[in-house]
Amino acid sequence: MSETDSLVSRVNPSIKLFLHLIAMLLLIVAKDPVTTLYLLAIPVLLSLTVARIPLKRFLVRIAPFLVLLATTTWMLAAYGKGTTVVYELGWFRFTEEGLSNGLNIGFRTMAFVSYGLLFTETTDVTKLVLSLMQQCKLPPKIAYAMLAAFRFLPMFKEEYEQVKAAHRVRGVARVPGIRGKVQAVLRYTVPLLAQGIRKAERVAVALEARGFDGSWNRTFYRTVPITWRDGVYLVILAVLHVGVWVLVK
Amino acid sequence: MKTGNVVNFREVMITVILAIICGFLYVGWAPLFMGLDAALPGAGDSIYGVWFFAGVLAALIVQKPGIALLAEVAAASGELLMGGPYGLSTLLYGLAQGAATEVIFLIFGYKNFKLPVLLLAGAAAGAASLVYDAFSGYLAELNTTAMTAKIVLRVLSGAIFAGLLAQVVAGLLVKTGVLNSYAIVKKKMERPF
Amino acid sequence: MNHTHLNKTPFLGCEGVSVQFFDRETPALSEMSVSIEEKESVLLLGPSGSGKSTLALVLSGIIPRSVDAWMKGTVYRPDRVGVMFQDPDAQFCMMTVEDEIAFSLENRMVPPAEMRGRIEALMKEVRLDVPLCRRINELSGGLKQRLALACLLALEPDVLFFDEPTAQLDPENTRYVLEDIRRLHGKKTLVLIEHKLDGAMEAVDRVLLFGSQGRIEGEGRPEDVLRDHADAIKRYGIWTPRLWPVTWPELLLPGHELGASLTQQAARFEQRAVETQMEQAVRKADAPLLAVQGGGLTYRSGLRVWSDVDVEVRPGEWVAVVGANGAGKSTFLKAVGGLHELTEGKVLWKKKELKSYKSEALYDAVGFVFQNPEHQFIADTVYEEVAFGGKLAGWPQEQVQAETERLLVDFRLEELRGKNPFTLSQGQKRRLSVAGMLLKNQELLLLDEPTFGQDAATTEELLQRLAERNGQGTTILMATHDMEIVAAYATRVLVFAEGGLLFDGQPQELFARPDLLRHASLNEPLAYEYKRRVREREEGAVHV
Repeated sequence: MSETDSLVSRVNPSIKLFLHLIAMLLLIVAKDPVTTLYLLAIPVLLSLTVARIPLKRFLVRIAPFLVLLATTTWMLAAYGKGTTVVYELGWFRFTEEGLSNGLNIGFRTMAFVSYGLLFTETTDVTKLVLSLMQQCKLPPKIAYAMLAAFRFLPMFKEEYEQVKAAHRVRGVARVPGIRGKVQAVLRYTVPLLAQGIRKAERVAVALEARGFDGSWNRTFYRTVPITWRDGVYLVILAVLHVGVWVLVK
Repeated sequence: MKTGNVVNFREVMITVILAIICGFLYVGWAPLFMGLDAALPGAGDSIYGVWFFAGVLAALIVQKPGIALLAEVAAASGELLMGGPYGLSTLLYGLAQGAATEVIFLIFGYKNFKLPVLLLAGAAAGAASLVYDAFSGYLAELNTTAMTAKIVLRVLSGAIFAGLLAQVVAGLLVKTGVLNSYAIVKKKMERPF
Repeated sequence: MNHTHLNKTPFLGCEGVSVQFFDRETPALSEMSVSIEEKESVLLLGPSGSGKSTLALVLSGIIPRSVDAWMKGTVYRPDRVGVMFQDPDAQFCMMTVEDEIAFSLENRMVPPAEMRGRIEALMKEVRLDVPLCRRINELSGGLKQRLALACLLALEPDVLFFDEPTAQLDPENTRYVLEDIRRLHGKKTLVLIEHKLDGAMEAVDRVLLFGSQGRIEGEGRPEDVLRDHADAIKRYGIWTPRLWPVTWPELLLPGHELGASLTQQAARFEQRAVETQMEQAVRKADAPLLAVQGGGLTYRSGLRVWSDVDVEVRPGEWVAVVGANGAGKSTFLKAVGGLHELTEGKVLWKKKELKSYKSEALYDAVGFVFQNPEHQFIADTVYEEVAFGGKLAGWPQEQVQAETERLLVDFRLEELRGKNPFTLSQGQKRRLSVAGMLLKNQELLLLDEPTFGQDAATTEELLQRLAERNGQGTTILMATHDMEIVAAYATRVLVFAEGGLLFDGQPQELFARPDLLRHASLNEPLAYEYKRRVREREEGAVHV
């Protein structure tokens, strides 16, 4: 997660998360592809305007998910309920209802992805966890464990590359048969998990040695406040949703 | 000596780390699922169970309340952070699957972590993900054959890829000695002095 | 001090303490009693697994608070203690320097308004001269340890424990940490576990020497312990300081015992240099085994590691690859081992492009020993780990068995054959990782810092085995930070620095150029330094 400086990035992360989840609930209620398409436009529009995510970056991040749109639509179009057959090909049977459902759910999935992107692109991980602690009473024991674990992500990627290289030299993938392939996957996974467990223990011991006891007996250097911006964001989302409702009415 | 069922920080920490590593592996799993599912509905579901693996594995290692739920949600957040393809719904999936896994272990009083219970926990996670799909996604709109195939395969896949696989991987991890101070290994041996 | 009754309550210490971990058959500490005075600095010395770390964990209260173990006995400890661990990456939970120090203060419920000032003061105190918002993962290992120290000082501790704080650092970063420890000497009570003793001994008042079985074998002033227990220390494979307690001015006096032995060593190096020169001249005629032509490597992030690298390696050479951390030593080994593709130029293996080989064929001839032995472990037992390659290649069973047995004996692993590789000690893991790469008698062996973090005994043994192989014709390419090894074993050395290959030649040519060494932040081998200082002194004397 990174952070661009914008209105959305200054919205309280817990509130942002909550609002996005509400918006997703509304998406689930929408039953026709046109409404869903309008609703999909909301997070896209927000991303490119008030969230100030550069168009190019947005497109790069969203492009892989077009595959998801395609597969979801395809699946429902080809295997969905429906009687009005449009086209038949082998065991695929495209119906009008299926196609409509497929597009609806394809757009919905894209909208979910867009809200996710809008969230991750404008939210700093540390602020998110601090806010979950300060506003949602997430226990510090869990909150700091999450923060410590996120720090390790790049390290695990590196570790994974190392293990992959080592296994290449040793020829692990060359063991024949399905059994061999399953073993090859386990041989990647087990060292990664074993290293992870060891790192986790070390961090836990080190943090406890620094006086961390997992309780609420602590102060906060940084507070993540609730501000007027949260209200503004709520109003923007509400107005856009009402707009869509008027449009399709 | 710490006793009882309250998780300590070390246990929370390894749960979260295991989950995040699984989240990292899940991101690579998603394209495979989508490809399979587009070719034949239910084909993807046969490997869907891997997504419930973190919850069962962590619960099996730590054997305390809340661990399965925590692991699934943490794995989901890891996947989200790394740009997994399901956006924020990943979190909701994690919540549903983790809760279902947790309920199974709760029913057995967090005392039984034998294979049948693990299989059941994996299957329950599969069922929970289907319930979520029924609300948010495409399940209800599929024709009967496709729907049945998806339901059966996903539950089975949960039992195998989460339940059975968790037992296999935990067994391999036990051999490496890194789990010696967790419930899964901790010998109930006589106090030496 | 063992088994004696303590008359007064010590500032820091324990009485009759035994500790046993759940998975062990024998106790890690037996009936141990220790007493440490305020502002005293104590070094715990001993072989790996002798209970040094366990004692530090007990005295700091981590056992039994955070680490489970059976424990009995009494521990005396002031309220506030801090512990620095060896893994620089596994002590933090925040993203930035500022937030990390704040975490310590938050735990102590310091009012937020006071924090900023304290954070700045702490950073100044440990000389961590970076912006407050610097991301932790952009710091070098040594600076991470400096940050860890700031986080510990934020607790205002009465005692500081250092549990192998430099074990994962290169020489340059090690210097930072040892500098910090020396500065704390006399100001705080210090308990130190450390293997790199050059630069650490000055900060030690007393040494506790651990034997096997979790007992203390000797204690006293550092120079006394090092002298009186010299045999045991050697037997346990413990590193000793290169010079200390001898100082340079003393050493340069004529007739010094150590000076004489360094003179001999320098003479041996010279002799070796002459032989190497002749060998290398003969090798010139051979076809290169490996060649890098116009090699360059740029990461996808745009970061250029090195470029314009031209190197030819001939059969039988022992090539040391040196340079500071991040100069691209590992990447170079990976590139010539076919594990990282070059972005410019090409690698030739026996005159054909490396890329054109199938991995089976390539890795039958090239072995790669990774920095972390665990990365390459793939089997459940030590035996299977070594035998894997032979079985995969479809060797007849007798051959697999015979070759595996031979390696197990060579690397003293025969009694561990049934154990899981992950459960071995650090030294055993290293020996196994090398043994596992030698089954096929590979022509070229690439080793990424194989002696890193190993004790003196393992290092010595490993180098002996490699030297034997090298003598039988195996070509060796080895990344290392240890210039003593380069001086004693390498026939050639490649120095990576400043985005390129700074030097390619014989070790004695490199060590004749102190400017180059400083430039690439490399240590000077002791014998070379001695010779240089003697020469400089003589020249100085002439001028007077």
